[in-house]
Amino acid sequence: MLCLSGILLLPTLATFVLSFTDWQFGAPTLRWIGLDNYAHLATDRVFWKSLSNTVLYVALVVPLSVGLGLGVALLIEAGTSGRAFYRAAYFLPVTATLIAMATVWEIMLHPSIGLINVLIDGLGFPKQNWLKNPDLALFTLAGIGIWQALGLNMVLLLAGLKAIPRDLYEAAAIDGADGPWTRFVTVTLPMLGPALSFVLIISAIRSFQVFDTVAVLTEGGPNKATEVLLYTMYQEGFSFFRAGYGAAITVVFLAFVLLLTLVKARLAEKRVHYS
Amino acid sequence: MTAFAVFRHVTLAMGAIVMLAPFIWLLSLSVKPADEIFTTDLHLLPQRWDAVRNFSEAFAKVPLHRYLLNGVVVTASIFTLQVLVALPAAYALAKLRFGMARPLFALVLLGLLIPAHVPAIPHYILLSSAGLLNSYPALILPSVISVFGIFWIRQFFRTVPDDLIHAARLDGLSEFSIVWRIMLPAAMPALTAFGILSVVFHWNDYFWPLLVVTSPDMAMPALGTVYLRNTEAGTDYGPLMAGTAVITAPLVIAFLLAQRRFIEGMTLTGLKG
Amino acid sequence: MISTPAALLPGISIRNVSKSFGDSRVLTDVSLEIGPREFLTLLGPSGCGKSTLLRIIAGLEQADDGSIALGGHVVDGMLPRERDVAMVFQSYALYPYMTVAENIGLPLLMRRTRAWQRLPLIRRLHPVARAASGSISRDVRRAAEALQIEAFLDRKPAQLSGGQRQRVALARAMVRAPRVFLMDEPLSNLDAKLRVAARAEIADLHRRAGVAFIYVTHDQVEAMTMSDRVALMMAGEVLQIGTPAEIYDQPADLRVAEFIGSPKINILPGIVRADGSVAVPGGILPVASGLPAATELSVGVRPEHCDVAARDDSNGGLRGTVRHRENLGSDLFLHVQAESSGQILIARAAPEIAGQVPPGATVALRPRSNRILLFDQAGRRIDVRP
Repeated sequence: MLCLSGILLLPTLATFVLSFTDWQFGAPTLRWIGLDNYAHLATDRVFWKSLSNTVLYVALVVPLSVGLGLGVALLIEAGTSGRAFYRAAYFLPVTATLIAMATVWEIMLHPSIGLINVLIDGLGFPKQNWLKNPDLALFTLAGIGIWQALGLNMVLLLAGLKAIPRDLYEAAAIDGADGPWTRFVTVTLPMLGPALSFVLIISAIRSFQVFDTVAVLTEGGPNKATEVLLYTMYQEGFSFFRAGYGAAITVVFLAFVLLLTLVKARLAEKRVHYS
Repeated sequence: MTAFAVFRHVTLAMGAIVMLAPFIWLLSLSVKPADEIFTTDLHLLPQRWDAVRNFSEAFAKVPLHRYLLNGVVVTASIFTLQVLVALPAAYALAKLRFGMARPLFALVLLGLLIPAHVPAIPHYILLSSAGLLNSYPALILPSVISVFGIFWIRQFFRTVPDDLIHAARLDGLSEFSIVWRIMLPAAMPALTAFGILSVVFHWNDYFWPLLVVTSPDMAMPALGTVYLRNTEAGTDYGPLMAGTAVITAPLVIAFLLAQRRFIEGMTLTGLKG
Repeated sequence: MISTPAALLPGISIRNVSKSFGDSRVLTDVSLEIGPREFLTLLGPSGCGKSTLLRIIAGLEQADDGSIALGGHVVDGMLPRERDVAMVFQSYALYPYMTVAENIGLPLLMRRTRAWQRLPLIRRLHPVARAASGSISRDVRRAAEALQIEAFLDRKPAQLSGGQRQRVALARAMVRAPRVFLMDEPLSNLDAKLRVAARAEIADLHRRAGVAFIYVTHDQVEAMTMSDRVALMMAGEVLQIGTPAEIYDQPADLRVAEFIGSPKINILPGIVRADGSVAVPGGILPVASGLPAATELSVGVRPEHCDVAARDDSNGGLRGTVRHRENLGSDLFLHVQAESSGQILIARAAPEIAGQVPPGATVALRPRSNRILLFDQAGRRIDVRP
C-alpha cells in the first residue's frame, strides 16, 4: 500500500518538482530555476502550436467518433440480424495495435499508389498527399483517430441503449410518440443522456492523449502541423533531453486531463437522479 | 426484407468495410510481390503469390518472434504482478477495517486521475540511475501497481457478502488464505475484464517501450513495428506488411475468439480514463 | 346465467385470437365479448397469455390469427395511438426525465401538436403550439386533481413513492379519456396495505370514467373484488368467463376451482355408488350425482365448506388427525390427515374451538352437501341438481 504512494504519487510529485528545474539528462548538477520553465512555455511558439493542434484534434475526433458511434449503435440495435458481426467489425480497430494499423494506413494513404488515392482518382477527384500536406495532415490523423475510437464509443452507447426499458417505448407508442424521430427525441436521447455525456468525456480524455500516430506517421510535421502535446513532451524530455522543460509540459497536460476528469465526475453525480 | 432492413444493412455494411479495410488491405499487401504493390491497379488477391518471400524477409530483417515473445512475457508478467499487488490491497480496502483505510482509498482515487504518461519522466530517471534500462524490469515494473486494478477489484469485492468471509474466519483461515483461496475465485469476472484491459493496453503500448528500449531484441510488439518500418524504409512494403500482420495477429485472433469478454474488458478503458 | 352484453352495444370484441412466439403457443383461439362499460379482469397464473392478450388489444403485438374490434371498429393492424386506448404498465413506465405534469401531458401533446411544432423555439412562438400548451395544462391539472396528486406536478418520478407513481400512471391514462383502459398488473409493485387502498381507487376510477377496463392480474383477490366479470385463463385458453360469484360457486373446470379460493380447494378421488351417491376414501358423501355407478370422479370441497366435528361421533364424516393448525385470529384452518387415504385436507373452523383440536387430535370433517363440486375425469364440472 505504501508502494502505491511510492511508485505513483511520488513520481508525480517529482514531475511537478522537476518542472521547476532546468535539469538536463546526464548533467551533474541540478539548478532550481523556479518558474522559468513555465515562462519559457508561455512564449514557446511550438508549445502553443502543439496545444492548439491537440485541442483541434480533440474537437474533430470527439464529436465525429461519438456521433458516428451513436449512429452505428442505433442502427445495430434497430434490427436483429448481423448484430454480432457488425459489433465485431466496428470494434476490431479498437483492439488492434494502433502503431501497426497506422503503418497500414500510411500505405493506404500513399500519394500515388495508396488505396485511398487510387479510389478517389477513379472517382475523378485529385490525389492528395494526405500526410505531407500541412493543411491536411492533422485532419488525416483525426480521421485515423476516429476510425480507432468509433468502436469503443459504439460499444458503450450500445450498453446505454440496451439499458433503456422497453416499456418506455411502449408507453410512448400508446401515448402517440411512435415515429422514429419522435421516439428518438422523446425517449432515446433523454435516457441516453448520462451515457452520452460519459462517452463524450472519456473520448475527449483519450483523444487528448494522442501520441502513437503522430510519432510514427508525421513526427509532428509537416511544419509542426501535427505537433501534439504528448509528442512535444516526448521530444523535449527525451529527444532534447530537457527533462525539466518536458516535465513542465507534462504538468500542463495533467492539468487539462484533470479538468476533463472533473467534468466527468460531475456528470457521474448527476446520473443518480434516474433511480 | 423491409425497406428499412435493407437500408440498415447497406449503411452498416458500408461502414464495416471502412472499418475493416485496413485489415483486409494489410493481408492483401502481405502476400503480394513488389510490382503488384506499386501499381495503381487495384486487386484484392495477387496475381502472383509472394507470401513466402514477404514473410521470410520480414522475419529475417527483424526478430519478429522476439517481439511477440517479449509481448507475451511482459504482458503476462505485468498482469500477474498487478494481481498479486492489487488483490490484497483491494481486499484490505474493501473488507478490513483499519484506520488508514479511508485516506488510502482517497489516494487510490487520486491516482486514478493521473494518466499513465505523467510519471514517465521520473520513472525513466529512476530506472536509468538503477541501470535497469532496456530490460524486462524496465518494461514491467512501472506498471505493476495498477491503481485502476486496485479500484476495480475493490469495487467488485464490496459486492461479495461479508458473511462469506466471516464463515472463512470461523473455519480458521488466515487473512492471507482468505485472499487467495476465497476472494480470488470470487473475483474471476472482474479479473477477466481487468486482465483483458491490462494485456491489450500493454501489448499495444508504444510510448513507454519507446522510452526505455534501445535494442531490437527487447522491443515490444508496437515498438517492433516501428523498427520494422525503419529497416524497410522506403519501398519494400511486402515484407513490411507481412511483419505487421504477424505482430497484429495475436490480438486480433484473441479478440475474434472471445469477443464478448474482450468488449467487456475494453469498455473498462472508459472508467480508466 | 351469464350476463353478456349483446353485441348491439359497441364494446370490445375479441374473436379467435391466437398467437405464438416462435415454437411456443401463447394464445389459442381466444374469444371474448366485453361490454363498453364493463370491468373485466383477465386472471391467471404467469405465462397463461393474459398479458400477451392485453398487449394485442393495445396494438403492441400483432395476433397471428383472429380479430379485435374496439367500439365496433376493427383495429387489426392499427397503430396503438390510433386505437384510443390507454395503458397502465406494471412498472408504470413513467418518463424519468420529465416532471409529473409533463408525463401526464405527453399523450395530449402528441395528439394536439405535430413534431415540428414541438421543436424548442417554435414551441414558444407558434400559435397552435402555445394554445395547445395552455389547454394541456388545464387537462393535466384536472386529471391530477382527480387523483389527488396536484401537489406533485413539478416533481420528477424518482422523487415520488410507489403509490404516488402509480397514480401518475393512472392520471396519464385518464387524461386522454380513452375508450378502453388497459391495466397490466398495476398493483403488483405496491406493498400489501397500499394495494387495498389502490383497489378501491381503481374501482372508483372505473365508476367515474364510465368506460371499459380490462385488467390483468394473477392475484385472485384483485380479480374478485374489483371486476364485473372475470375471464380465467390458463395456458393460452380462456377456461371460464363469469362474475366473481359464478366463478367461485360454479367453476367450469377443476383448474378453475383450484385457482380460485385460498386456501386451495380439497380434491379427493371419488366413485359413484349404485344409489348415485359418491364414495370417497373414508366415507360416503351425501350428494346425488345422477351418474351411473362406478363412474370415477374428482370431488372438490372448499375448506370453508367443510364442517369440523371435534369429536369422533358416528355421524359420518371423514375421520382424520390434525397435523397442523393455522390460527389467523379471524379463521382457524386445520390441516387434517385423512385416516383412510393419508391425504391432507384443509378445513376451516371457528377459532373458538382451537383448544379442542390440538395437533394429534382426531376430528371428523363433514362437507356440506350443497357445496360439493363434482368433476369428471377430464376436469369438467358435473352439474348436480341437489
